[in-house]
Amino acid sequence: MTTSDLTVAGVIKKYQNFQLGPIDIALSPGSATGLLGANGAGKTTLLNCLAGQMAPDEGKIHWGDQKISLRNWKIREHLGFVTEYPSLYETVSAQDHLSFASHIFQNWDAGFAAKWLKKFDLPPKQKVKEYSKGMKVKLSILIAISHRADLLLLDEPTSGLDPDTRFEMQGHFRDLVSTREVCILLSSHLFEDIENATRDVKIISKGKMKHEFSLEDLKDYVYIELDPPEDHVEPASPPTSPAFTWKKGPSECQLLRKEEFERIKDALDFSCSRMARLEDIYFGSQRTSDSDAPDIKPNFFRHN
Amino acid sequence: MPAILKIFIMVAKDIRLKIVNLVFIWTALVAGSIILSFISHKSGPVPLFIFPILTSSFLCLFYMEWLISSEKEGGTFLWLRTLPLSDRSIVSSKIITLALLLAIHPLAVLPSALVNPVNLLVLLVTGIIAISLFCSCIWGMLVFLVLKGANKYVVPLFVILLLSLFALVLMQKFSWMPDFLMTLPAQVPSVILIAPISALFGWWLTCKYFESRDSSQLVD
Repeated sequence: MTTSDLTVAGVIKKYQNFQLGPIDIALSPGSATGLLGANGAGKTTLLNCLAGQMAPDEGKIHWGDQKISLRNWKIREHLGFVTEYPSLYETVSAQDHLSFASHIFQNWDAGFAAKWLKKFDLPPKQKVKEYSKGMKVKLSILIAISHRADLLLLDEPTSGLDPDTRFEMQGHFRDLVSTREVCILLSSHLFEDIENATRDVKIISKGKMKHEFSLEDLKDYVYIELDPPEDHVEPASPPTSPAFTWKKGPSECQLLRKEEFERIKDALDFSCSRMARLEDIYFGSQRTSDSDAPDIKPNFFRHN
Repeated sequence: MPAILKIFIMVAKDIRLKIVNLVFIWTALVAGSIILSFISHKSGPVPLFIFPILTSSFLCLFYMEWLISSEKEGGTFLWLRTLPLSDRSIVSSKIITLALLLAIHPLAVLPSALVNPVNLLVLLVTGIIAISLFCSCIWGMLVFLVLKGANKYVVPLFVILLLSLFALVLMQKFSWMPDFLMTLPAQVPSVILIAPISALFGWWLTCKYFESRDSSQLVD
């Protein structure tokens, strides 16, 4: 069992028209965290920095007391990194890949690799070029975890997979966290992946970490759609103090604390109400401009 | 695991990936050299000047394509960089593989060595080059990999080819050149010229390119 933590302090990566950060993250072993963000928000850049594939312009990244950087290749014994498009050698088999990796990693667990090869239902002798995308992703993940990786960084690995395979992968990620105390950071566009495979969520937007919260916190919130007031008529609903407000067509969407909703629901003129979902937080955060920043609730959004 | 073993595993991996193509090429080389040895028996050493220069140059290009460009285009450099391998190990393994492949090349023209024993010198020269590269890796000298891709080699290789031909012409034109240079088969100057110049190009370009680059910049 590992005792190391991932610590990211003030990481900045600058491009001509984009800047990631400053980003601060702390993740502990056995935690599963989802990273949500639009295309170009900086998810891949952040994961590349965390995997030591990219040198940040400022800031420090540590796994325990070891620095993660391009030069410190030995740290890769503890890391597993899977990208959206797994880069594998097409002309050889899964067995060849595993055999190669087993000689390269010091802590390669052949028993675990063989067990998960079966679990993933991968034909060991078939050439990789004959694999489907899902099989390639599985093989890539298998290589990334079979050396007893403590930190698993997954950059949209399930993107483009069919629902069955995605569902299966979500279960595997949960297994890894519960059985091996692996620390997982999963980037995805798919709310379902994050909801089913992780416990904490980070939302990144335009290179900045906008919100960090636990999926448990969602239970305290209710999503409502308020009907638009008719012309020249005073709004029917009493004023609320939502965590987020955003427009969806003519309706106004709000995320309200459950207690507040219960208190004023009879007076509210809403067309729809349900338990808050991850997508509500995401859309709320994306469609709320910085100038009309929401009423940030302690214990919910620890970041803004 | 010691770094040197990892380098050998990488070399084995690279050869394993292209073993079928290599078998075809070496078979063609042996066949070609056998044919040429018969021709040179009758018409003198001219074909032996051209054949090894051309094959060395173009094989060098193909090997670079296999070893470097295919990894760049396939994105497998990214994967290699997620493994506990130093950049120097990756670079060294590529250069050793290249040296080994080029060293096997003169072995393929062994039949012509039987016709002209001077050709055995080729084996010695390529062996020395391979061993030097190998030692430089062990002793920590900075040996880098050219990651710009094979396309970048086309111009340098043609320059090398022209230089080799020019050298051969000079050798035959000027009487002050030592006799042994004029009578040597072309493998020797071609190998002597191509290998160090390629290594120098590789070293110079990669010094500029590698190590400081993010992984995402190592793919096409």
